[in-house]
Amino acid sequence: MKRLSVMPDEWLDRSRVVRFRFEGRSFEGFAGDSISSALWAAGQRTLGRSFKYHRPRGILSAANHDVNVMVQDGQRLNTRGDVVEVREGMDLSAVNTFGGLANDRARHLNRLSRFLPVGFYYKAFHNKRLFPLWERMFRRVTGLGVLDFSTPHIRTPKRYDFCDVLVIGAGPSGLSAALAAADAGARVAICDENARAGGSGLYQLGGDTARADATRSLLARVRAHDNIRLLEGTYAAGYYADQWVPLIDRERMTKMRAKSVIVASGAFEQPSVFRNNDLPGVMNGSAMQRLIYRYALRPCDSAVVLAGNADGYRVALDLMAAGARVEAVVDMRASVPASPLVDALKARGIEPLAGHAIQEAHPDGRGELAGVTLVKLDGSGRPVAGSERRIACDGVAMSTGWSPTMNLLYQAGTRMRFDDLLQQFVPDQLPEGVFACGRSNGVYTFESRMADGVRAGLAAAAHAGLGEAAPVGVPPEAEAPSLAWPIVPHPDGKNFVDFDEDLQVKDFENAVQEGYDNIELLKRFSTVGMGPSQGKHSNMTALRILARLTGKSPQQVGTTTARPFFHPVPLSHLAGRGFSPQRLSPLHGRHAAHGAVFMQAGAWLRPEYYAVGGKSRIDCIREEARRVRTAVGLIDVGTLGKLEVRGPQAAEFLNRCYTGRYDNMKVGATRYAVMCDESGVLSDEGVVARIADDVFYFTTTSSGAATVYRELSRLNTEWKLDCGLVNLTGAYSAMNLAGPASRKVLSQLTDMDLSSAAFPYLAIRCGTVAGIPVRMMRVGFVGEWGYEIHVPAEYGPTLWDALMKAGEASGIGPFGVEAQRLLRLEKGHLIVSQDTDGLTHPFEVGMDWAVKFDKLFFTGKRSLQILRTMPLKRKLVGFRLAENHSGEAPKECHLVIRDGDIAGRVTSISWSPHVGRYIGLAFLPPDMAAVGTPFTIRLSDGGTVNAEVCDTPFFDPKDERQKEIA
Amino acid sequence: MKLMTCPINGTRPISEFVYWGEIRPAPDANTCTDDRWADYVFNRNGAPGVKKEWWCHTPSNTWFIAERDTEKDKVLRTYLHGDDK
Amino acid sequence: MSAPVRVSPLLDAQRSQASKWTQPEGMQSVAAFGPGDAAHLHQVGIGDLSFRRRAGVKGTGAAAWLKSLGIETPERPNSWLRMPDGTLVLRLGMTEFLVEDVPGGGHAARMQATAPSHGVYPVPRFDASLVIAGREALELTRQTCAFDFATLSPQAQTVAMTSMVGVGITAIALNGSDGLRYRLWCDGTYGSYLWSTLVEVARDLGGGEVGLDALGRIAQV
Repeated sequence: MKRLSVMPDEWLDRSRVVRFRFEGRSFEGFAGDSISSALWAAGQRTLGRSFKYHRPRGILSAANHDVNVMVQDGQRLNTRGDVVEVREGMDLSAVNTFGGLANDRARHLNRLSRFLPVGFYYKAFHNKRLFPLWERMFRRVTGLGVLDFSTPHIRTPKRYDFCDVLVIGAGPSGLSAALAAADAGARVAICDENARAGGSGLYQLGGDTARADATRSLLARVRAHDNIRLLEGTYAAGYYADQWVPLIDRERMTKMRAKSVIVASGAFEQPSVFRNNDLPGVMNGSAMQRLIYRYALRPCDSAVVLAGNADGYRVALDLMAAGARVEAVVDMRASVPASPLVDALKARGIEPLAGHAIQEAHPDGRGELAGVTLVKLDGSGRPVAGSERRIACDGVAMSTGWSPTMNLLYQAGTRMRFDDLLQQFVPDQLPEGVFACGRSNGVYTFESRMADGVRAGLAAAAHAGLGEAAPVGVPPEAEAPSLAWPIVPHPDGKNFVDFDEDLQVKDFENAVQEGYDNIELLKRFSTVGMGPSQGKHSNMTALRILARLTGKSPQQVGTTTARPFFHPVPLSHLAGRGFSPQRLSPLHGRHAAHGAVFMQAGAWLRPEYYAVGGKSRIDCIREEARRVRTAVGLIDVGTLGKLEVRGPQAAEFLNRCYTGRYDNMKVGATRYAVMCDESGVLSDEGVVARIADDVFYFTTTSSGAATVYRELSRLNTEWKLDCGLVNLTGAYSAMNLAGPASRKVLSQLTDMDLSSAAFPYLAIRCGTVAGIPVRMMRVGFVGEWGYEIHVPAEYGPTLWDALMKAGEASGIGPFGVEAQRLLRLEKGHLIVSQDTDGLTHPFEVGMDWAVKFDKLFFTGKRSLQILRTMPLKRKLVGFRLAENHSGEAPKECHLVIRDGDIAGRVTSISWSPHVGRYIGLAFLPPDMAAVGTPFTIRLSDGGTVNAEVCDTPFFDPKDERQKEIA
Repeated sequence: MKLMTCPINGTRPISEFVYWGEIRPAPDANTCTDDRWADYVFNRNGAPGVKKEWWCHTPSNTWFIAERDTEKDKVLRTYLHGDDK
Repeated sequence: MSAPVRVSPLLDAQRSQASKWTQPEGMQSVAAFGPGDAAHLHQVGIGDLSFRRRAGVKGTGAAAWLKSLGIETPERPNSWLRMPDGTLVLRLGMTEFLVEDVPGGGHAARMQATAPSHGVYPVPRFDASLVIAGREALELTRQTCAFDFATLSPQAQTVAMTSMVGVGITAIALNGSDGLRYRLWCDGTYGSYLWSTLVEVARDLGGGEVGLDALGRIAQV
């Protein structure tokens, strides 16, 4: 654990010393140190406690492929020591300890491991009565941090980005791929999760500078290339459809759209499996190399290297170059293939022990590595009894195999094939636009990796329409980079496969024995690969074990689904700014000035009512309604959908879309319109006005505006009638001036003839009001003499002001959505999707008159013909409560109960000041729909209310208010 | 996010589009049986395969037809109504 | 009676931030927000050109009808042109057109006053119309829109109809003496939301809202 002199590619800034605390003690490191490297450099070898057994743990991968070193950094959770840089003043604690790292009280669980076999969660704690007790225990004992609820909610700005070729991974093959693609003319973005690019090219060196020099040269060319953007400290979190990849860095998420994606993300080293392979001091060979070359650390003083591939020999040479003593190189292969690496080792006096393995690692008093027992293997890979030999050491480098980093390739839909020579999965069929190179593609030899990168880069650029793919010769691997069976059995177990979940070999044997012998079942029963590192260091080994236990090949066993995200993504990055479109009427400022209390109505913000000091909400609403009935009110109805259809076949178009007939309308008339879908269900309603022979102006419900316009556009695309459809919803402002004084108010602002002879009920007239061009209709929605005035939106506020001013003398006031709903209910008018549902057809709501079967075709005609012959299941009727009703009143959707069964429901209900009772609309069976029929409504608490069917309209049943007053 | 190509506006993320449904030939509403009509109105073909569908590019209100292989999740081609040869 | 007052769709959103007003084309607009306007424009500025007079039309007869009114139309779908008098004409898709007058221009008024002929369907418009300019203009679009604004070519004069912060917009890119700028149009009822959202993003990038005074020539052409 000694700090070495400056390494050429070290990540340290030795001019800046960083002081921090870990588990209550002070430590020092350099800027650029990771938490793991700074602690290791200071001699701290126990860095965490394992999840289940609370065994002491040290560095395993030094790459965030395991969570041995997971710490809490103040409010920051999920801090991975391997990849988080030390910061001045950091105060860190290990997670998942019961009383601190050193004296974790839960460490005694290690001795109870016999009673905590795989799957014990499912068996021991299923008693319903006792479960709350167990749950409390679990939360205390197994948490991975303590949440501080005052942690600020942060949002970071997400962004989109675009490139021709995205290269994921900036190691030797990725850098080569980026250069080849860029030289072909592609705009390339290349990202690497590490703080500095270069990947294994800068640490898998074998004590020789050649690889590092070559990698450094590639890196320099990449940095200098105009067509390449290098994104360090940035990882690809997942692969989404059509080459869409979220890139995560410390600040934010970038949603990158590429034409081609090259996965060059290397491989995860898999720990060898032997008893006590988890002692602090035992680590992956590549972890030792990272410590040496990135952090200028000698990882141990005396090392045993467990090899099964050429990489192990490089590790041994790197250790020696760092000044460590290599006690032994133990090769699990029966014979060691000749290579310059072996020669170099022998030249330094080390003779590799072929056909040997580590049977067991031994802890010292603190539970950290103090030595190993070597053993000879027989022809079937089993330890030969009596061949044990003990060696003292403080470091073990495991180098027996890899698992390619294929997560994103899987997510893209790549089909994989298990290669028996390489002993790993390789891409067999890549989807269009997705490419792989380097170790992710099964290419391990250094020169081959660069060539493979060039091949992929050219192919990716060609797919993006630049240059041409060229066949680049990549010779097959001479040596397997991974052992088929890197596992040494031991009767006392503690030979770990998944370090996150504390799973040892016998856990897999037990699971399979219990019948969980399929990879999906094995995963869920044993929890292998379900910990924070999501199987990065364990999935391949687990697969090998399952294959052997079930007598299948790895190809047959298959893999589980790799899901995003590749590393955990902070919620701040996912939240982003959050865009929720808000639609505002042109009169919005006027409403706010009048004290409007707004409500969300779809995307629109509408005035629910206008607040008056000292008055309750319900009183304000009733007062607004009263003013409309006795004087005059003004409401903004600009959210209504407004459409115009123009042309020789405009009437025919409306005839086909709505159930009514419009070809026989006079110019200047309006007509209520009902729209049904193909099944005859009410989908929308509005008013159609004929402004000219070939021009119709019609409205839709506010919520239906966009959908109706879109669907009508589609229909005319099909029908190709001689007419055109225009959406004026946003272009026009509309307001309803209603009440006995409305004509008096309006007449002050216009020269138009407002007499009932010239402008009858339900007519439309065009003219000017207050100098503004208007389309005006006399409508009956609220049941008072009134005008629905439509104007170009830019004049809306001006008209509103003029009307309010002209109405001052008459006591005008604005009214909102709630008052309008009360007024229309008093007239018995239904609101689509409140008083109708997804199955309501016109005959259920008394709209037989609106359906004109004498048309050749309209949407829903055939269905309505069928429905007309069928008995009605329900009818929408008006009802009222008793005059002297007291206590709670029913609400919308309260049920009508008859003989203990559901007979119908309330759709609208309100106290009516003008009728003096609660009134409403409800669905009832036809045999209960006669006027005067009593029925019961059930409230939420089970209580019942008596009601009686009555006629509608409730108020002014003969529409006298629309007739000329003397 | 999946991409879709509007014949007029080009290739865009699928969030700019609305899917209407499969284009299915309707029986003659005036002459077919009630059962045949109900089958047309309520039943849909769920089997995977190449389907002709109505899609709308909402920012421009452009309706077009997409031929989509629902098994392979691939859009084979898109064209305006009447443009398929 | 004097012409009725036109009110901008962005008036309510801008009211509290404005320090000086003006009334181009009869529409109350912000002349200046504050002393930072000019600096915002340089970094990334959002300006409001809703005051310009506009008219829309669509249909198979629309191009010919516009020609009869002396209005040139672009040949390619989704492209724009500028007439010699500065009028901007956008071709939206195949058969729809947006005509925007320079200040004092009268094409929009003439379109509104002329009865449409067969196959000509007037499209009344109430646009919120913005201009985005400055060093970080492209970055602002990167943070608000999944469409690649770098592909909007001022030379090719392409028009894009896409979605920005959830709102349907029409966008073009123009070259000027001060560099590239983007013009956007959206339905006025979404205007306040678009304006406020883009201004917030611009502020995060070191810029912000810009009044007509600081926009200078950009507001005139």
